[in-house]
Amino acid sequence: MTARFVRCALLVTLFTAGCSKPDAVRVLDEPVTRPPVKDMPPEQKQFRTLAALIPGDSVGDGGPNWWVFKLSGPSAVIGRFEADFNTFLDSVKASSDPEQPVSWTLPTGWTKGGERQMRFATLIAPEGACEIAVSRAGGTVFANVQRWYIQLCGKERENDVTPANLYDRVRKRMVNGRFLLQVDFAGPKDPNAGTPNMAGPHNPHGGK
Amino acid sequence: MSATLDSPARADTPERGPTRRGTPVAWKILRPLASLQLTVVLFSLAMALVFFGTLAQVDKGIWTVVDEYFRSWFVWVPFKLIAMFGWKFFEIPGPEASDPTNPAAWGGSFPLPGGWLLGGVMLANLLAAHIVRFKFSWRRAGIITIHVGVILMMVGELVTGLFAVESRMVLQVGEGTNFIDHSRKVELVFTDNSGKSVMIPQSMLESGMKVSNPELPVDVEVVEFSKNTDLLPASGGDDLDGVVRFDGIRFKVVPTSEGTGVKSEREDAAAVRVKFLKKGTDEVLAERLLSLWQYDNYTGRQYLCVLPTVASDGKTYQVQLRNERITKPYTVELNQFEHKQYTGTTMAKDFASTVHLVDPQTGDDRQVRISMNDPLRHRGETFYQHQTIFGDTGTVLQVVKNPGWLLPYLSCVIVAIGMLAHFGMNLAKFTSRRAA
Repeated sequence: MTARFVRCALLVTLFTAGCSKPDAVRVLDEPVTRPPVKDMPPEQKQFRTLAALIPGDSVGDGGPNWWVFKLSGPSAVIGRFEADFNTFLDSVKASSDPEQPVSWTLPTGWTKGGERQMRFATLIAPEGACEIAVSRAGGTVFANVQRWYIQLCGKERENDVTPANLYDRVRKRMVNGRFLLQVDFAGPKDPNAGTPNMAGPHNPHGGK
Repeated sequence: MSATLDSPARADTPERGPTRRGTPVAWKILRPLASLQLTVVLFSLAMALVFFGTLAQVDKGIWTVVDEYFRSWFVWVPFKLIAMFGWKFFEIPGPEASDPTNPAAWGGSFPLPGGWLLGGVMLANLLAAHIVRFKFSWRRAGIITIHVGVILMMVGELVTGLFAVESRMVLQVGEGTNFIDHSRKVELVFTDNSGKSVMIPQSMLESGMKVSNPELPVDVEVVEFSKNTDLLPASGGDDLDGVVRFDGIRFKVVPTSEGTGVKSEREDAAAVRVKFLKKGTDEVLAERLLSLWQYDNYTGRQYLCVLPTVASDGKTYQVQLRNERITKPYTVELNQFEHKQYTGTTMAKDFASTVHLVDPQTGDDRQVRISMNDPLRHRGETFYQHQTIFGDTGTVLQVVKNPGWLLPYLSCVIVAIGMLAHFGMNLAKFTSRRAA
């Protein structure tokens, strides 16, 4: 009888005991071991594209959502103006004001170019060495980033950029309180040689 | 349960007295515990608990109800549930007929024993009944077997409630991982450049709490914890606490009520507004809203954000609210994901993930195809095909670990055997009497 009672009491006690210890701050070493992304060999990096995506305030207007800023050309030239491009990006401000949906400060020596089809603005480097194209684009981050990569490295290498490694190739940062995605690609093909724009950038402002 | 299967009043089930077994003190405890009246009361309370627990899911999430009603000692049941039930099914108006569900009109609540308490006392009642009243004989083997099955079922629920963990593993094609995300718990994590993480558990993230720990780069004051949040399209303002969808649409994060048991399209997205304080002081370094919308694995890689950082002792830490991370001694890599549809429709026919499992400790190194009804089992965990990442670029596997998973099946088999034995013997007895 006593033994039975003890067994019974033990089972009931199990209900009341509470088997978990209280939570506490814990520490974990999680070494990040991402596989290296595929890159072009140095001798094939004749051309380069620096580009950035900033989400606009286009909710409700049905238009593309991204503001695109793109500087591309021969690697040697782009290298000379890389710092200017970054300074320029740091000054970009997207806004919900339809009269001025995006604004920026031009780097020293840069000028605003004339109207162009498919562009919101064209910004010309000193001596016309290269230009920053400002446009709006739809599509996903992946579609845009992969398109830029294909323009430089060719369709045959499109699988170098995958959804799994996309953000290993893209730098995310905050500029003036807004989200900015930035890429820096190099490859053997001239990205300005007339590759069609698959994600469909358009210019709802008529190049103003 | 003994009420329906056996009666102590019958002449063939005499109560055993203290003169035969046990001490008088134990007997004094056991006798009322074995009471049939207590059994009836417990069953009535259990029915009430199930009834109110079901009604409560109109307002609350299923897991909140499970925790509050069924895996608790006591629950305070709001009178509002009764008002809602009366109005919905019988159109009985409450104190304010215009709004019968108005909590102000139906304020207050009443206590009810929770699932743990009822289950525990039921188990004690059943065991005590066996000690006090039942006498073993082959004729009673069926009844005893049924009761063993029922006890096993109750123990199974206890084990499940205490030890079962439901989690997710999110993978894009080509991606490998060695951790799973707890489905119901979140944590606030500070990660430095080397990958070292310091994690504050959800239990320490209640509104008003202040967390100080030598491992943390800053002190953390919790301004507000929200069980669930939603996304609203944003125009103007900044993206500091918001997210941007893969197609460039901006969203801000706003608190909302938790997903209910009757209408819930996604898992709740918890959020916490915190102040980062300089260690040992009240100096506020920053205040930010952190949410699961900023966690890749929660959103299936659909939203982008820039996580806040804090600096301390020359190190920079990235801060994130994420599902509680459980690291594993093995890795799983997604090699291929298939999403088959019925011809000419967009209706899903089959989802399947082909993964490569590597476990250095067990020597496992194999490729496994996980599909809808064909899970992977490894180290006591079961990996089910659960969801797809948008664009079919990856998979979400539900990972379930439940040490008591076999007990319900086993208890059902035992109960079935017991019933067959009990009714079989009675049938045999009846037919033999009739023949005589």
